[in-house]
Amino acid sequence: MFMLRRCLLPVMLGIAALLSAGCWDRSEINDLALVMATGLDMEEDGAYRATAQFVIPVRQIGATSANGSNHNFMTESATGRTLKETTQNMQYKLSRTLFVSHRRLLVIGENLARHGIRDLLDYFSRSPTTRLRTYVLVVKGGKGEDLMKAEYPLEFVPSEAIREMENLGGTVPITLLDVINAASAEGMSPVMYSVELLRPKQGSRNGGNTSKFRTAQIAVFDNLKLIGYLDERQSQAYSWLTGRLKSGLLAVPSVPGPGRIALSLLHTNSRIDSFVRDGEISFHVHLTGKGTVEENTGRLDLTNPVHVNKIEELAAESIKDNMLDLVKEVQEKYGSDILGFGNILHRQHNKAWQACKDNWKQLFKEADVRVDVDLVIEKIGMTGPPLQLKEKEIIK
Amino acid sequence: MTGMQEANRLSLEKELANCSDVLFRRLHSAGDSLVWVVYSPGMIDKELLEKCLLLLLPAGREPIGEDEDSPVQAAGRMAEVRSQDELVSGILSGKVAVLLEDGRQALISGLVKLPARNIQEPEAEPIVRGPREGFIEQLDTNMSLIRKRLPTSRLKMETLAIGLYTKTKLAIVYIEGVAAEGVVQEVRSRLADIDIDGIVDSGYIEEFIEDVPFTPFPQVQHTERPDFVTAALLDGNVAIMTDGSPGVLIVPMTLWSAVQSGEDYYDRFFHGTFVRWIRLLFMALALFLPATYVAISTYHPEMIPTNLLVSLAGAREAIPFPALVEALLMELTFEALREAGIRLPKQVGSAVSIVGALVIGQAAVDAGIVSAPMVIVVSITGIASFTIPRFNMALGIRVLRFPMILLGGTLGLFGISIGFLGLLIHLSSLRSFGTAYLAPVSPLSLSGLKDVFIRAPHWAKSKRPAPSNRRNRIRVPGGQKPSPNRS
Repeated sequence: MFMLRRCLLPVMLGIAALLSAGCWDRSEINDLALVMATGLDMEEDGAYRATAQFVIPVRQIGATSANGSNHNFMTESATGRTLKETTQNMQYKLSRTLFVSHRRLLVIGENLARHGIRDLLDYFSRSPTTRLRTYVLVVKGGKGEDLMKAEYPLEFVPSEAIREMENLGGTVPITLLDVINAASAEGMSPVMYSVELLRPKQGSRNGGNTSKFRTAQIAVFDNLKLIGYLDERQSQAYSWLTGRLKSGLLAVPSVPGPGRIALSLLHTNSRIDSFVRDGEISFHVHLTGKGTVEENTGRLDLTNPVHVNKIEELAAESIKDNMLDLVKEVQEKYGSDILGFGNILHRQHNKAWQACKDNWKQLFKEADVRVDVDLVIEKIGMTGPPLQLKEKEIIK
Repeated sequence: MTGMQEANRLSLEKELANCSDVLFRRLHSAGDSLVWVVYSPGMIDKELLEKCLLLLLPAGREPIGEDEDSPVQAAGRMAEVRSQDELVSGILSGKVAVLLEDGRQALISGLVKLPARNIQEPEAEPIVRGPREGFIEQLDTNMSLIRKRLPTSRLKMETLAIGLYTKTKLAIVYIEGVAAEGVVQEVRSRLADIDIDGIVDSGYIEEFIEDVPFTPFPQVQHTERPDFVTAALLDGNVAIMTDGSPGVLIVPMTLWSAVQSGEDYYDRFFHGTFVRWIRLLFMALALFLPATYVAISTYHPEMIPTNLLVSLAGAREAIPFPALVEALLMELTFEALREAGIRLPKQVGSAVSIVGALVIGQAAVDAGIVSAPMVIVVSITGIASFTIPRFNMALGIRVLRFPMILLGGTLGLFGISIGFLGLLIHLSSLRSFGTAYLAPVSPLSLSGLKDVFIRAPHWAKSKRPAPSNRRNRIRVPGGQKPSPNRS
């Protein structure tokens, strides 16, 4: 009895504490509006417009009706002066609690990107529910809202398609964290990958098997404002330089003879050295990588190392050209240090950096950049010469 | 003289009045003297009795005494008794009483044949490889099952009787020099302190001798397998056998014995180790899985992989109850099914499991009362609780699951952490006959670990675990690892 009485009080207190203090932030998962992606745009009057793409869970588990007209996602949009206000306005239109913890994609309309994203970043980094691993993309020539509303039947929600494309794209995707890091780092400007909405041609069958998004090009920011895009070859060079290239493709002429050889690039690495001599700042970019021959439309027998060495040289030359083209484009056209050269200088020659950082924008444009490439072709595939050729056609 | 025999008989009949199972037989020996034979027919070997009586009755024999040559001595060991109490308790435990004309009384003790079932494989502890004998309800049979495995004079079996009415015989079994004398002494004194009207099963004893009563964790092991007891004795443990119960108690017990099955030591040690980990994993699942599911799905949905969350949300779409209620509902249903499966006769039992599987499985999901993921969680938990070889430990874990679900459903993972910490504190405070409940993990003993997270091969398990006698620890001398080059 004594035991019982002694236990009773703590047990009662414990239960009371659980019931009064617990449960306050409880929410069943079927009471959540699962945001899979958000598109952000700027209205004419300068207000934000956020468009969220929600997954409709019950449509995901085999309950889809037969006619196929039912979407398995839903979009909702709202406007506001600040992002929090926008979110709040969106919540007023929803029957379930907004749940952004699983948002994996954030797309920024070109309008907003050109206006500048400085004011957006705080909300996303301050809120504990936003994942910093969310991929951020710019909608090239379009609005985030349109992208959110586009359909893509292959994935369970369309935004998932964009995310998967980013993953497959051969480059390491850029996340919110990367943008924030680059924006706050010394001598560096952020970039983002971009996505393009491909509208179906008039008269073409709706919902055909054409991809409706395309991802590739890199959006260049200066002072957190979008100022332009790199083309595809420049984008690849950029990814290589910044260590984001997981795999890539390169075509070089098959010399001697006609045709081209397609190489896939793997294990790419880069090293940037900075030099300060008599106040002159120069950078030396050293790229290394390995290649595999994927296709050979020429007549070369690749079991001959002489040919392979020649192709290696040509490939290295081509990569070098691309890289120099990128540097030139960035230095002359954009003048924004997205390559992170200032950051390299900051790390390697801090004194020089301290002296020139106020003037870096100008100095970056004038900096001398040299590139050397070390590419090794490791695999030539299953055959040496193309198998369909006759013996005499092959260049040994 | 006759008056004395008559007086004896009358007082015996008076004491045994209304004991219809006791038979009074009046016989005339050849010398025309009157002999009364009193016994309980169900407890003796009747054929042997008749033979005995034939030897007993001819005249000129001295029926009672320590005479080695007496045929009665040879057939059924007769001893003279003087007190009536002794006579009564002898009759009631299956001996045959003989009342002679001269007033002397004797008990024949060699004719006892108590009803007993055959030695079978214990149904509650089936194994695939290993001995299939199981204990029965007879103490002497059980003792012989141990003795034949350990034919050494160091194996000691001390008997004592407990219970005012049942006078249940108990045996303290240990190997002298292997078991720690302190533990044996502790067992003796704890058993001696028991004062109760009757012992029906060894479970009664367990409750009297355990260290801490208010805990879901058992502190006494319980088995029906002689091989398991033998292994435990060789580990330096002490076993307590109870007459009338096939369950033998083994002390001390640690938490880790919950994941040890006798079979681990018969199968190859790779498999033994693997199975240990499976049991550890599923023991944790049995305790935490439903709670974690409830906690994560209601408080931390951001922790669930996105695609899984979408599936879960879809499955939960039409469910009317919160996840906490759903979990409690399903767990209670499962427990009810389990209980019904045990209690019902075997012929009906399978029907229950079929209906149960249909009801808590498909139909409940189709009707939108519970979600399919919850059914999966509950099923895994149910299976997990059956992977624990020690049944009494599984019972404790089953019960603890419910407070865990409540904690997880009210405070989320935070609550589960609190519950886990509380459990850890409680477990580390437990002792079983002087051994820490978490030993040999805490306090740490490296050689003891060879039998916790792994099942080391027998040639590598050189030392006995900690509760054994400190001066006699070496079990296997080193250097016995097999190799093809060994001569």
